[in-house]
Amino acid sequence: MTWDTEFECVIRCYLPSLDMDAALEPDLALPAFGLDSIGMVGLVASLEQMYGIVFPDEELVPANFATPRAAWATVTSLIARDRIAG
Amino acid sequence: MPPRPLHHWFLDGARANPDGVALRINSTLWTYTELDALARTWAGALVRHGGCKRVGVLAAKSLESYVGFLATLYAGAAFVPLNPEFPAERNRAVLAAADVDALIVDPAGAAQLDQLGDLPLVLAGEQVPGGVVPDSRDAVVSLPDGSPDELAYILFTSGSTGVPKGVPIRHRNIGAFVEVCLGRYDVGPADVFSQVYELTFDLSMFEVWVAWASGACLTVLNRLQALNPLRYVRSHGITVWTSTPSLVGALRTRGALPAGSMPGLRHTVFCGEPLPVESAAYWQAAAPNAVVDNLYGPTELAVACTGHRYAGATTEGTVPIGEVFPGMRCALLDEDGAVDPRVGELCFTGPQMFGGYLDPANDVGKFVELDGETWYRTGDRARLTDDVGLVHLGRNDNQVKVQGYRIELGDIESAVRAAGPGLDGVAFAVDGTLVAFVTGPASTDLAAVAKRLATVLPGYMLPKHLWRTEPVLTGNGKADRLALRAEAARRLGLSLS
Repeated sequence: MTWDTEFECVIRCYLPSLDMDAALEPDLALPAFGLDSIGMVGLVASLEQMYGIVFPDEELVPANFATPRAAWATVTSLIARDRIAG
Repeated sequence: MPPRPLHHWFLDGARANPDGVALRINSTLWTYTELDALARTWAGALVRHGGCKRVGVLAAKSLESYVGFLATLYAGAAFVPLNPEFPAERNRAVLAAADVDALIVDPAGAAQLDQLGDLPLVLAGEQVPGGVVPDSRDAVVSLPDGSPDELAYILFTSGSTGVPKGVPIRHRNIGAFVEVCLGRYDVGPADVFSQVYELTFDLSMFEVWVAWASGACLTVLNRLQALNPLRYVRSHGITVWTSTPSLVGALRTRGALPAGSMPGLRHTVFCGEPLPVESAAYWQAAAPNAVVDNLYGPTELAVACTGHRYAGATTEGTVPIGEVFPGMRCALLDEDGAVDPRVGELCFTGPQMFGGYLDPANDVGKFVELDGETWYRTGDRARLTDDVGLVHLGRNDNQVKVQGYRIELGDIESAVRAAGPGLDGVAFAVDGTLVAFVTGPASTDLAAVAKRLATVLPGYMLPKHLWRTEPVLTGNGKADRLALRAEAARRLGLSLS
């Protein structure tokens, strides 16, 4: 799984319990490393700003922010949707 | 108005606004007419099965949740909300304690079915093994007009001991509450209510039934969406917002609500916890056109039974809980059980009072006879003031003894709130040591807070340790006292038994 460095940076910002040296594994349980529900709200805002996307209501569910893999998959699908919608 | 069945309040809204939106979940809308038709179909399946008195609704704030409540009432039964995010073991215990004879599930609830034991009837919108899909040919035509003393719903409170207690609420109890609210808030078909709370938490009954009684739109937010009032007030046109004060504290810490950012809000209802004056002021600045109301009440008294309209900071610390609702009466009891005119344990009687716990063993010590009537003892302490009515002082069990001194932990928490802008506190006595967690801006200077506390609290009430923490909330959006207490013990190097 590959994502861009901006994504990695922003995710790490919301993980106070993850060591700087530790790898951000695709299936890392984000809530276990400090991403609480309020943090998710901030993460959504950061991702929307960074990628110029808007999460529709249906995508604003905790499961989409449970792991880096889930969050990145959501982000890329929204970028693709916007590209198709032109 | 004489007491009437709870579903008649929905029918009022449906008459006032038949083609208006009764329910919104994300981008899907249902009108009053559509929701009524669905509820009649699902009620038909319950009636066809026969003999249903109590119906569990195991669904994740989905269409099945709301149709399930209405259908249960249309079938003359009482609903028991359950949360599929709770462990199956807890849900199984609640189903057994409530003695349900049918269960309504959505796909999230259906995933737990194999762990819930045998159930006489399972209703689901789509085929689940062993389940029944309601058929519109069975739809009920005439609706029950049962006694107001029959049960409308049963909620289970967690209780500080962790063993859930069943609280049965009659149509008469919740109906009296809805009627008070319709007089208190000028709401109508043009309003949009947020549905923030989990449905196992009784504040959700305010959102659902007051919205529907006024013909308004109920807008469902999941637990992630509910933490972002700004986004949803703007995008969904929400005019009535409800939440716990802890949510505002958390948003304030992050500066998430700019002044004037929610001009469309007309009403905000806070309940469930003490409301810090700072949080009320912060919210009011963000929602300048909203009436900010602070309600107080336990599940046993049908959601809330006192309230205070915030009108700018007149006191430090916590917003008062104010005046007793019309129809309810309040008394304050001292430690010996005698009535005290000024301070003591809050007791209430009146039409909102439930008739006793599902398990009568839980009734012991919870009621008191005064003036020939039965009153419910809340376990909360309050002071009656001349200018702002009742002021909440915390739980009875928030009273601890340290080195022989009787200490109200609520007083320490109020002092923390008053020690600086944006601060909130949760205090504990752990093995005889007073400690307090402080939430607030990252720049919070704990030494300054400690200094400030020393100027307002006697020495024996000063926490030995002040720790800054990010807000730690329960699923209901309240400060998670159990988790913080365990954390305090860990930091002190103690093990809690």
